[in-house]
Amino acid sequence: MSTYDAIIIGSSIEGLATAGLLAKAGRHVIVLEARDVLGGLAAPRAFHDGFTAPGVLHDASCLHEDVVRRLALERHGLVRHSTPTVRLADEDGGGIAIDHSGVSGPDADRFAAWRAWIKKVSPVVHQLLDNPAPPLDGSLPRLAWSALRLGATLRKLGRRDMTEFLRVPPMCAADWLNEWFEDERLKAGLAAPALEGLWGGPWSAGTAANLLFREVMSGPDVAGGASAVVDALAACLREAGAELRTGARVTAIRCRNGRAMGVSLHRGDTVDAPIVASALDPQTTLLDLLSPTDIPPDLAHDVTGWRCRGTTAKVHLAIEGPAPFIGDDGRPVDVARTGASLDDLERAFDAVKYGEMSEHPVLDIRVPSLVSPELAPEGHHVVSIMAHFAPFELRAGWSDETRELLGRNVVATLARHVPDIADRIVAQETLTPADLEAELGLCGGHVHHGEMALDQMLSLRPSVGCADHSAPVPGVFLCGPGTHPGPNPWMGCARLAARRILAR
Amino acid sequence: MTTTYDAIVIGGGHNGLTCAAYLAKAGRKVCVLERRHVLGGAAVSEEVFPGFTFSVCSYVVSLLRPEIIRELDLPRHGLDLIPLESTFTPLPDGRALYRGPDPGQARRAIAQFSAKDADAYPEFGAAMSQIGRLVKPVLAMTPPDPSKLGLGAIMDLLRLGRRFGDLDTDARTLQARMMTMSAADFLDRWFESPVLKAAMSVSGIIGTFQGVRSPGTAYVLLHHYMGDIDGAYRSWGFSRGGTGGVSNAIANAARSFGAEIRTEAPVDQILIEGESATGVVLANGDEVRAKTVVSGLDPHLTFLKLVGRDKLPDPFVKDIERFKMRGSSGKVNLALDGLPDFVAMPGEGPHLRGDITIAPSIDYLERAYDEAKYGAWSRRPFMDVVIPSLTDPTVAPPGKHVMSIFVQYAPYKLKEGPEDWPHQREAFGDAVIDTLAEYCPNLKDIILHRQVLSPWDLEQEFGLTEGNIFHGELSLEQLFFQRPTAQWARYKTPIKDLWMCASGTHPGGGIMGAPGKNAARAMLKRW
Amino acid sequence: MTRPSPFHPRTAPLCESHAWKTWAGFLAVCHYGACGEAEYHAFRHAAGVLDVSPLCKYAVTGPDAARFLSYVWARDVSRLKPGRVTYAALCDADGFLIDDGTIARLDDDHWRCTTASPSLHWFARHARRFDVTVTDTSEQTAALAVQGPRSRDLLNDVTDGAVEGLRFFRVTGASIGGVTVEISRTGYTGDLGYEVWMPADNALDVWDALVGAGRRHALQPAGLDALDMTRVEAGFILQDVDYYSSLRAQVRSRMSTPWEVGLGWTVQLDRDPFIGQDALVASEKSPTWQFVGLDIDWEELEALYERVGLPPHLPAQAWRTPVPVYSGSEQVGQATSGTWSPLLKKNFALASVRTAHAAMGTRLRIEQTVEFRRHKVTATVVERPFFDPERKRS
Repeated sequence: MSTYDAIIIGSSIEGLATAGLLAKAGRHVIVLEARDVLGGLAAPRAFHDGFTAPGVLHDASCLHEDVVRRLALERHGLVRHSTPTVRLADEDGGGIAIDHSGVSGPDADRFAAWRAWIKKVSPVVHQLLDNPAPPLDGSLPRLAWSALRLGATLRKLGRRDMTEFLRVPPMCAADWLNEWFEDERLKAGLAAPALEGLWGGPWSAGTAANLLFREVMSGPDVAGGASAVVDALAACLREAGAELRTGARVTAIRCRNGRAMGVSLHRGDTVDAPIVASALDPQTTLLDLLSPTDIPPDLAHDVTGWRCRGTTAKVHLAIEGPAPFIGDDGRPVDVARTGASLDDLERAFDAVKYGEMSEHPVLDIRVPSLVSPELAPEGHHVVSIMAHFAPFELRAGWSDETRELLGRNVVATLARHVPDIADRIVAQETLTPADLEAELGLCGGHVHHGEMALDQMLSLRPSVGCADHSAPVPGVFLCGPGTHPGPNPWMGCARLAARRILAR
Repeated sequence: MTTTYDAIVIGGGHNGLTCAAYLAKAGRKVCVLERRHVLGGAAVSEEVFPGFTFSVCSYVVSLLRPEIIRELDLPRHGLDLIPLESTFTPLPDGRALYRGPDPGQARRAIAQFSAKDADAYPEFGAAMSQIGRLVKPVLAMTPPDPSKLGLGAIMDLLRLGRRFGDLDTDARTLQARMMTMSAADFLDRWFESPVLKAAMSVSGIIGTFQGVRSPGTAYVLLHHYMGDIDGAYRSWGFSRGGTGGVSNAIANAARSFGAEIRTEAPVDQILIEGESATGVVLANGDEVRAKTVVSGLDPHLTFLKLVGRDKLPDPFVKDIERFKMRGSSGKVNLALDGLPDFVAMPGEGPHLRGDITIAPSIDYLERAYDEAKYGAWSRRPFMDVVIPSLTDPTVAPPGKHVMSIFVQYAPYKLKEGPEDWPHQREAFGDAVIDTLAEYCPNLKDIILHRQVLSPWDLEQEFGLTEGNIFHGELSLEQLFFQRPTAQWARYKTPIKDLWMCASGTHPGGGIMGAPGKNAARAMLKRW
Repeated sequence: MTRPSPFHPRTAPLCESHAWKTWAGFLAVCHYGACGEAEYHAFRHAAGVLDVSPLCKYAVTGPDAARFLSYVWARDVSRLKPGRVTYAALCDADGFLIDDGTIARLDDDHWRCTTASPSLHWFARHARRFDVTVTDTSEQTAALAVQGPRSRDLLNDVTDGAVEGLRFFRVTGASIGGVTVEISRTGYTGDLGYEVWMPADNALDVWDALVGAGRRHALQPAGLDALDMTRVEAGFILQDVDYYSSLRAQVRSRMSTPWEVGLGWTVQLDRDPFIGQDALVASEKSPTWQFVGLDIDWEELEALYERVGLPPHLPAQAWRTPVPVYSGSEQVGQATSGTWSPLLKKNFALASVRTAHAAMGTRLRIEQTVEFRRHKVTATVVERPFFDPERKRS
């Protein structure tokens, strides 16, 4: 039996990327995946005969370029294509488009200026998200040092942009967007993806940070979506000699003398390694996989209060006929968003506060089969929809009926833009947050392993005691999106976690 | 008249008066100009109905800095504060949460709803006090300018940093999280009872256009615990004779140091010659000259109206324009023939003497907010009710009472536009009375007079832009070194010799006096 | 054995805290509610009613009453007109203070004086040569202190305006609830206030009438804790706390002359012989001690707490454990009682310090224990009373 240098729990993109970076550094790594397919939320879903959705996560545009380069993912089959055109659709079939050149409509100039400002401040965002979070539990000089370094980057912005940069993140997205733009569709269209996985609407304070971070981090899209990233990572890992084991659910991280020594699997067997990195959510890792005696009670208490209330539902449609949205140039559109105004988005969120699903959800729609025709049979398409919002804790409880109701709400909303859609649906898959928890083991059904709120970012992600990716048990590390820098960019957590592990 | 003053203070609100008092105490020749016939701005008492004196706008004195009380010797000038020592939260189902001054009693009261919460309650209080200690010195400091840190500012920050460094990891986590969390989420980490959480969460939203689930509201909870650390135990209270008593005491102190205070002297314009402010022009055309001018008005009024956009740099005008005001609250003042009789706790008792909160659940509060978000006043609002005449009988004829109802939410910007408030005002008042009457059915029978103030009225009558009682929303990006704008948060303005001293500057609103004192200190350093 | 006061049937059910102590052999309420602060504020902002029946009360009658009282007290009351009250010191033959109290001339030959501790023996011992009768009426006379800015309106309500024109340190007859009472404008809170004297048998009728009408004036029953805070603010001395009766003091150092406890102003020396006169004449010139008010520096105190990471903590009521007072490193006296003043937001103490250190504005140091460690904090000698509202006299 071979021994490993490191065990990675979970084959999500962060898990695979961590494994990849460790393997590249010459470590002997094994990835343990509970399900029979690699990828977690990014795993392809063959939800109907001949139809495959490329992962629950459908926007693969925020990749950490540094990791892409270091793992040579493009050599392993990753194909980037330019940022797709996003259609912000009206109900009457009209709408505006955001593409690489900007936006159509009255806000064209301001949009360019907005983007330019974001570009200008992006070095600071990168400094924040590409580096370990300030060590809040560390000594004062260390903390001061990291504050000074950030301050130095900030000052390079110049006085006005610097103060602006300090002002924006705590704001709500709606206020920030209102300062810049007039077109309600544009504002809603920009805010919606930033709200993914948040327990808040555009009027919630702090959402401007999400919007800013997302805008800075997003880059060219990936052909084939999230599952294509998984494929490339898997190829890279195999080449590097890492072992990928599916159907291996980890039930506990084993410790001896206060150090990690391996994991136990659900069939009772064990795998040994001095390093265990978990790509699962922080609550599962720290509270379920580790025993209560392994971690300090204060940390356990803090992590118990971790908020990971899923608000996103996923709907996959198999449709016949052309793609649902057509651009002004007459070509089919592969990304579209509904929601005519920020208030629409806010109303959609309001329901969640009372444990209800939105009657008129705001949809982020992708048609991956336009870029990857192999995902659907000829003359058909796969429509992948992120629906905002549906609470994990539905007051009425999640059941077949409520799931179906959610599905109907989503289709009805879509039908307002694409009137014939209902008749063209061949098959439909609806995933509620409860389904995501049941199927993928996501705590709270939360696609980002924890809300990306201001108080769950940076040094507080997931808690002061382990924001540097190391759990308080020597040898145990966290590398999922529940750690700094969070869900975006993809593989950002893996990069910092791997760096931390290798620094040992 | 050719008198030249060292400083003119525009507006006789409590901050303007505080600033004037400190300047006068330092030997400067100061003149305060107040538009209305009474002093106090929003901290004012008026006999609205014969025999009934109301704290028309602000109704409790929360954070008046004890050092200001001591340094200006306010009690000698008539300040009298009476603590509010209990919180009574009646529930629609006839139960009630009554937290009195006795910790044992409060514990039992909470235990009716959750035994766990009852035990966590004092621990929560201790944790809050610990964090409060950290925040307190911030209130008294001039915010640093992050874009040009001088040695002094770095030292200030390091001192703050050291205090943070003294905390253990636990407390650091708490502190860091609470700065940006929502009140509801923060309380979720401590308590399970929705009743207790709702009752406690409201201190996070008073005066803001935020819901209890809006991030950033947890920090405001802290203010409730700040009183304790000054030894000014339970420093939430009434001022004898209404909150105008505070303003009058400060005014008396200012006069005793030689300040001149003029009422019915509305300022029309701030005189600017060359680069600097040289005085003001009154509505009657008189000019009053001074070496410096200090504005006790909100930033919008000060710069956009009294100075004028054309005299200011464009980026600054833009910053001021986007400084969010957003009034969210209204006020209903009642003259009563007797005492309200609550279903949940019938009869008279100490529960009527404290704070009475209509906040039965987080969802109730959040729904009230949701209505306001879309431009309507809450049909079933959050209410903070006090009956000051029970502890201070001077404000009502014997046997009669005054009730002050602070109501949230009443958005300034109605769907129909703020000008529609005069048409909706009484309907709003009715909704308030109807809601409260569900908890005390005898209310409608004992009302002798009623006064309803919408944010529109607060703007028209008291000069609070958009009716915002804090001179600007207390959201994270409008606090500390960003209040009112990032470059001008040190009481100075782009106009030489023009200063700000009111709630639109650090540390913000409430009858605190700190902006006034801090501004005076900053000015005196320059002299 | 400790006895209930005549008002006990009313005060007992109201005393939710069950916090009682004994006062001159009677049960007395410390605070009715959870703490005394609300009662304190009633005294200062509305009205409080306090059962002062345990005070020692003596009726002095007879043609020589005025002469007798002027002889035993260090104050000449012979010209005190009926309807007036005065405050005086009771001294021994060596001029040391025994007690302090009020003397009221109810009628030409009818007087009432009060003392803090039983003094009948002292009066009786010196009454032999006078045509007077001294009767201890403590048990037969119940008394209520009604104090606070609203007390005048309240008493006017229940007496048909009997106290409207009643000036400071005057006494008048009146009727409350059908009971004949005497109302004197006196008190121990340093505020506008009155004391109502009545036959113990009718005490409850008076209580009911007063408290019933009090609802309109925000009257609250108040206990001794609240009284103690107000009396420190008013700068009043308290026997057995700020000074000891010379009759019970076992050593010289425990005895005080009236000059040394700030009662010198009540002493009238140049008149017919009275007890202690010669000694007092001598001691006036050289008091060793002065009784002073101290304002304890809050910022320093806060800094001390800050150093150990605690918010400042003060007891919620007045304290009376003596602490040393220093000038530099030399101990120059002791603070004997003090309180945080919720009204003035200051921390005050009453202290006896050596005369050389008693000038107004002198900066002394007072011992302060913070987290089990002793420190010294600046305390400045300031005017007494700390709180002296105009309404007290007007």
